[in-house]
Amino acid sequence: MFVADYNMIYQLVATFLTGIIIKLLDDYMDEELPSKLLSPETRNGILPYSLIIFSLAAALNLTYTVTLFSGAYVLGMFFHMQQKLPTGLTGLQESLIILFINLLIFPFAAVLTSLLVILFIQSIDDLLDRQWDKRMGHHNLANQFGMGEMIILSAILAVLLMMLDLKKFVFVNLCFFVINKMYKRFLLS
Amino acid sequence: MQFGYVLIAILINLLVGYAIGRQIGLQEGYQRGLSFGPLKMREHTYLSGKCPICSKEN
Amino acid sequence: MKKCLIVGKPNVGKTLFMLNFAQYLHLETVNIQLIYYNGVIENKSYKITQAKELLSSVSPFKTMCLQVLEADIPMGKGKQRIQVIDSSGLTDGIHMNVEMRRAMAQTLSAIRESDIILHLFDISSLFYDSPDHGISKVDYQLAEFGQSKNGYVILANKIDLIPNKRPIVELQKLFPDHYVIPISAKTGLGFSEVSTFVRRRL
Repeated sequence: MFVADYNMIYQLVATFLTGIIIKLLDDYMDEELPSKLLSPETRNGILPYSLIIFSLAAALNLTYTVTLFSGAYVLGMFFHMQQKLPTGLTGLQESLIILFINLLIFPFAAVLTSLLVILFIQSIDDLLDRQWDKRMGHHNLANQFGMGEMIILSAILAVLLMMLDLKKFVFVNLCFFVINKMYKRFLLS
Repeated sequence: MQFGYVLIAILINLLVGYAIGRQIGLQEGYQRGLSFGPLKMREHTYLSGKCPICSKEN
Repeated sequence: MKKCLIVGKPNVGKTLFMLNFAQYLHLETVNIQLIYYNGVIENKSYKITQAKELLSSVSPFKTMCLQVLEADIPMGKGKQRIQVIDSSGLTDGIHMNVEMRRAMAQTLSAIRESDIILHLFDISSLFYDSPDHGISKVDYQLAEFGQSKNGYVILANKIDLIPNKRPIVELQKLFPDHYVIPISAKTGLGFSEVSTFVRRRL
């Protein structure tokens, strides 16, 4: 019973730490890192601290950390599938390679549920940030495919995830909510 | 579990129907807007008394 | 209540059509609501013959506001109440009279809210002399809008004044995708087809 309890705590903390890294990476790619992180005292610390946080998350729960992060990376490429990347590969090629490696190392269910939950979070995020993204020119699934479509898709993903892995679904949503709140409170004010 | 599959099937149907309906609606709305445009512009012209392109009166 | 708007150029017979159509629907007295552009509403009651003398005229631009009357149209075993709305005539140019222009603008703004649009043409003055057949740009624009809207019909009025059916055929060729009903607002010819069309849209 203790092992099960600790396992869940590790999963939750790993999810939380991975969520922080994904949020940082997202803002870095959008060139929207908060000014508090870009000050001369902190900017050099972003990369090393991110790597430490990521490795801690991986130590706590490797499957959750790597599959969630890979899922975020792959979905982040969605709007740039044809783009040539520094590796020389296109976005699509890199995404497929990362997916393939994940499937070799981790169970199929873990990879699938991580992808789906990241897609769910992305849908909700895009629904909430529709106006802002439209104004700033960011890619947004709700603006691209329509608000109604994204709401229904989110419902489909929610039901699917609750059937496949309710724990992960709850953990990820909880962490998403908390991270966003903390971000707005400590970094954007 | 069974309930979940049924629910997903319903939602997928809803998604497809909604998406198709919206696309058709956008196209029809655009055509209707195109045909109403001249009448709307005419209404403004009547009210202002000036040509909307060259601003000449009467 | 469904709204049936009558539109067309000045002097095509819109008001006479409205009154004679009301008579065709067995109204002897009409209660007409005059809705002016500035929002003023007047209610007037006339006997049909009196209304024709006062409201209809051979000179154009007699109607300077929306004139609304309510009538019961037979439907199946029962009746349905509709609003028949007469409007000010529409012209291509910018009329010098401000009141006239405002009345025309009012007509155009009423088009979108109407369920049925009866677009009158004076068939007796078409297809002779002028290269554009006497059909104004506003008529074409109305017809194009009508194509995307359900409940639009062209009424080729004053068929009592034409010697043969050729102008009606020509008009139908110009608007091949529209339903053209030949009528005479004066004599009541074609009113049953108009009534059938209006009933179908209710």
